[in-house]
Formats: sequence, structure tokens, C-alpha cells
Amino acid sequence: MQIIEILFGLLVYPGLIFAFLTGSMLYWLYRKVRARFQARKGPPWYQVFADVIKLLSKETIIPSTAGKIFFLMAPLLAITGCLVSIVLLPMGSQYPTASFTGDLIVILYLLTLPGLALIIAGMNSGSPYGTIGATREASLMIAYELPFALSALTVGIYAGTLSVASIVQAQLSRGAFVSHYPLATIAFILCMLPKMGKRPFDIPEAEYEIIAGSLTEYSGVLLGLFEMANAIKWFVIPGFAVVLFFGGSTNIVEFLGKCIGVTLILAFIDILYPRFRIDQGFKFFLKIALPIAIIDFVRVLLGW
Amino acid sequence: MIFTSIILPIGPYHPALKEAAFFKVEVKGERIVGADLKVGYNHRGIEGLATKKTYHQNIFLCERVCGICSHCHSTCYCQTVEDLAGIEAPARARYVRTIVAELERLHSHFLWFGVAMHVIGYDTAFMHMWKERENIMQAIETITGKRVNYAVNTIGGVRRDVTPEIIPYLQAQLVKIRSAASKIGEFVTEDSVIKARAKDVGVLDKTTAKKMCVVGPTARASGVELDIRKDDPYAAYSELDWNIVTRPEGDVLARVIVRLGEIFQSISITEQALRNLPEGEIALEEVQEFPAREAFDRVEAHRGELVYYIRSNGTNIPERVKIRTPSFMNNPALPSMLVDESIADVPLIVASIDPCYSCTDRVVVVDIGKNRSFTTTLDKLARRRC
Repeated sequence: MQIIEILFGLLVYPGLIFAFLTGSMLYWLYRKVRARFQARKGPPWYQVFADVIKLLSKETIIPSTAGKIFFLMAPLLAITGCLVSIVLLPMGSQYPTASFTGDLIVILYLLTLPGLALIIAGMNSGSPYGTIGATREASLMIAYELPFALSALTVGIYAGTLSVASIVQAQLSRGAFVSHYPLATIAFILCMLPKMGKRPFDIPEAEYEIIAGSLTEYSGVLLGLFEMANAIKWFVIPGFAVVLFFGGSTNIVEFLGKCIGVTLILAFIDILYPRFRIDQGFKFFLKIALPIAIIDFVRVLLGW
Repeated sequence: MIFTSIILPIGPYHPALKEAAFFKVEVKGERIVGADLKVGYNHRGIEGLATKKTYHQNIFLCERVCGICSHCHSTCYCQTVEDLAGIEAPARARYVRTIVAELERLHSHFLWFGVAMHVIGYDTAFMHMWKERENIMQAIETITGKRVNYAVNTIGGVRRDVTPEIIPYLQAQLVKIRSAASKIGEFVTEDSVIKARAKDVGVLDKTTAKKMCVVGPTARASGVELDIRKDDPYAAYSELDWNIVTRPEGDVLARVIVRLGEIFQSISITEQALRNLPEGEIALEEVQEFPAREAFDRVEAHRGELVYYIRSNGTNIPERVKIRTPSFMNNPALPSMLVDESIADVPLIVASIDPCYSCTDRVVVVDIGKNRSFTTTLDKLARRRC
């Protein structure tokens, strides 16, 4: 019976269908807010669905220079990483669909999969734009994964557990961790930007320099899958931030409300900043995000 | 370095390029070690076409050489034909030409600012600049009735007058444009990320700039004081009070600041021209006689010096119309600016000279057997018969 429950969780609620629907809405919210701030009208609410349906109905072209197996696998890898971590996230209640001790570490690993998928996609697409996009993603990943993991572990150590469900319960009794560890929260949000591919860290897909980076050679169904993974990312990564730092939730409405809040923070940063160059972005994480993550990590170790 | 160099093709079709051109950029990791530029994807045969049409028809043809500098082209063409026919446009016509030319320069520079912001990923600034540009477009539309290809010039004058009724409206628009430009100036010179992206990038020093014969804002940002409006005054520029803006640094930021300064100069020129608009006719009688001789004239387009040469054989059809556009001089300087920069800077450096490709294209013959390509004239091409 548990397997059926987990499959339902993986594919319907809170997995594929639910996550895709809410993720698309959050993505649309970001695009609409951005458009209004730029004195534009913005897309209609169904834009993501229209894009995905169109892409799924189009012909898929695999370049002759591409490494076929990895080229095909990359979008699936991106979707899988996001979906499995959704099952492990407690949303709408204190308990996730599936959980075990140490699932915080697993989620951290699973959330690197979309980035890893972009590297694999770029390296195997047989195009110079893809290669450069992949190297950019890889070097940026080295810079942002460390502060990202450090700030997630900060709250884990503070709550005395590596289980996400227990972190949520700890926040329900002690108050949201953003009030205890604001610097870790800031570092975490900064690291979310390159994970989502947003300004000022959308360097791996800077359209003016390298077209679409890793995704340049993708078309049709495979690109549609990447679009879906992107939409799901808009739900799972803000959701992860809500669970770790913004107090989790006891019902789904509260959870979605907090997700919208995090999305708006991301949207405002994206609106306000131009794109960094890769060396500047790399230095930013090592010089600013990493030190402030370390400060709170040391604080939690010393018990301040 | 563990990287071997790879060739990164930028173009012929690429989001960074508004028109087709091909940059062959050789990169090691993120660093550029070699660059080459190839144009010729958009040859339209304008010069050949100009020798098939009458002098009056050619006004409309020359206006369509470029969408953004359309008024510069028609002004330069009309001035050259006026030289040929030995006439001079009346004072009021020269002032109207100045007003439209400076408004066009304003809209071109605003457009360029927007594109430059888009290149470094600052879409919010890009959208707002294009929104402010709309004020200029409306002012131009009020004078000429059109937004692109204004059709305001004719041989021996202009076709539409700046009437007293629209002058207050134009002045109000200029106030709006000035406040928008000051806002742009504030954040372009103060924003730390823009500085980090543009300072010391794509440097073209004064010696190289002179050697490469670059023109316009590109030259002025490298410290070369070169402006046809001062060096060889035409229209009403000699009667108005304004300065050449130059910067010594030669990097992208200097080109940004030069264009910013030119925006304020253009606003001031337009305001003065509107205030001092002389009374009188706006056009002479239609010219019918074109004596058999040659004429040469130049204007300062937004990107630099624009040159027209026309040879007449006494008929109403020119024997030769030679156009030398500013980008034709600026584009060859690009490869030397690109070397030793990073890939992320390529679009910014390319955009910083505000290149235009279709107006520079010449016929290029590619000899596949001997693996060489060269530019040729129509006569030689016709004689080859291969």
C-alpha cells in the first residue's frame, strides 16, 4: 500500500501534476511581476502550459554530433531530481509523503540534479554554445553549492536533526529559523538565484552571449521536458526555502502563500540587477555568500 | 591551461546581432584569443540601383539604406545633389533638417542605450529606455508625419515645415526627454554592476583608433576630436552653440558616456534651433538641370561620418552614387577590440560601436577552388563570366 501512496505522491499530489501546475503559476507570477515593473503587459496565465503543449507536439531533432544517450537522459534527470525531492518535502502538513532520517542531505543532492542535467545536456549537445554553457554552469555550481549546503546544514544542526520533518516541527515550537539565522537565510536565497537561472546569475544561459547555453540544441519534446522541469523548479526550490527557513506550514494554503512570498523576493532581485560576468559571479559567491553562510554556521556550532 | 581553443561562431544569425554578420571568435575557456569579422550576408545593391533611378527617386532609395539613420542618408544625398546643381537650401529648410537630424540622433542613442542594457542583461532598464524613446518618436511623428523614413528632405529644401503650433509641444517633449536622459546618466555612471561590466573592456587606444580610421562616437571615446558638424559644418550647425564630447579612455564605458553627453548636446541643439527658426521659404523651385560634374558631401550620422559621392553625366540619372557609411569604418576595428576579452564581453563590445551591417555590405567573391575571398566591382564581375 505504501508503494501506491508514494507513486501517487510522485505523480499526482504533491508530485508531477500538482507541482507542475503550482510551479507554472509561480513562474507566471514572476514573469507577470517582472513585466509590470518593466512597463510591459506580460504573458497570460496559461503561457507555460501553452509553451509545453506546443513543444510536446513538435518534432524533436537530435544533432548528429550529440552524444545520444546522455542528450536524451538529461531532461529526465532534471525532472526526476525535482520530483523526488518534492515527495520528501513536508508541505501542507508537518509530514512529507515519504521520509527517513537524513533526508535533508538527500534533498540537497537531488536539487543539484537539474544543474547537473544542464551540464550533461550542454556537454553532449555537440555545439560550442552548449559546451560553454556547461562549463559556466559547472564553475558557477562550484561556487554556489557550498554556501547553499552550509546554510541548509546550519538549520539542521540548530534543530538537532537531519530530517526535514523534524526541522519543520522544531520551527513550529521555536519560531521560523529566519529570525534565528538571518545571514544563513540571505546566503540561501542568493544561492537559489543561480539554481533557478535568474539574474544576476543567469550566466550559463545568457542569451546575448551563448544563445540558450546548454539548451541551444534542444527542441521539441526534450525541450518541453526541460520547460516542465523548470516550472517544477519554481515550486520545489522556493518550497525548500519555506520548509527550512520560513517556518514550514500546517496547511497547504499557508505553504503556497509563503512560496509566493519567496517567489516575489526572487522576482525583485531579478528585476533590479543586470547580469554578472562569470568571473564576477564566481567571486561574488566566494567573497559574499560564502562568508555570511560561514558566520551563521560558526554561530550554530558555538551555540550562540 | 587545460583548455584547447575552440571556434565559437557568433553569427550569421545570433541573438546578439540585429543583422546578419559573422564573427569567428576563437576562445580558450572564456578568453578570446582570436577574432575575425565577415560581412556580406545582406547585400542589397543600393549603389547599383541608384544609377537606374532619377535624382528625385533616389531620395527615397537613399532614405531606405538604413532605418535608423534614414534622415542622415537623405540629408547627405540631398546636400550632395545640391552641390552638384550649385544651389543651396534656404535657411529655414536647413534649420528643419537640423531639428529632425538631432531628434533622430536622440532616438538612435536612446535605442542604443536600451540595446546596451539588454546586452548586459538589464532588461528593466532596457524596457524603460525604450519607453522614454517613445517621446522622441512622437515628436518626430508630429513634425514629419512618420516614425521611420521621415521623407522630409527634398533637393533644395524640405517637404514639411515646423509650424508655430507644434513648437510648444516639441519643447514640452524635449523637457521630458531631458529629465529621462538625466535619470539614465545618473544610474549609468553610478551603478556598480554596469561599471564592473563596462570599465576597461574593449579598449581602443587613440593610436589604434587613428590607424583604423574609426569615426563618430567610437573615435570620440578614444580621444579623437572628430565631428563633421564642427569640421565641415552643414545645415544650421555653424550657427548654433554646442560642443564636441570626447573621452580619452577608449573603453566601453567611455563610449557610453560620450553618447550620454551627445544626448544632452542634441537636446540643446534642438531647443536652440526651435527658438531661432528663421522665417522664409522651406524649399526652392524644383531643380531640373544637373550639370555633368561630380560632387562630394558628408554629414555626421549617429555612428560617425557618412559620405556621399555622386557623378553626373548631364542626364537626370546619376552615373555613379558612392555611399560610405560610418559602420564601414568602425566594424574593422572590432576584432582588435575583442582579442583578450572574455566571451561575456563580446556582445557588449560589438554593441558599443553601434554597428550596422546591411549598409556596409559589399559584393564578396569566394573562390572555393583557390580558397580565397575578395571584394570586387560590378564591372570586373561582369567581365569574369564564370
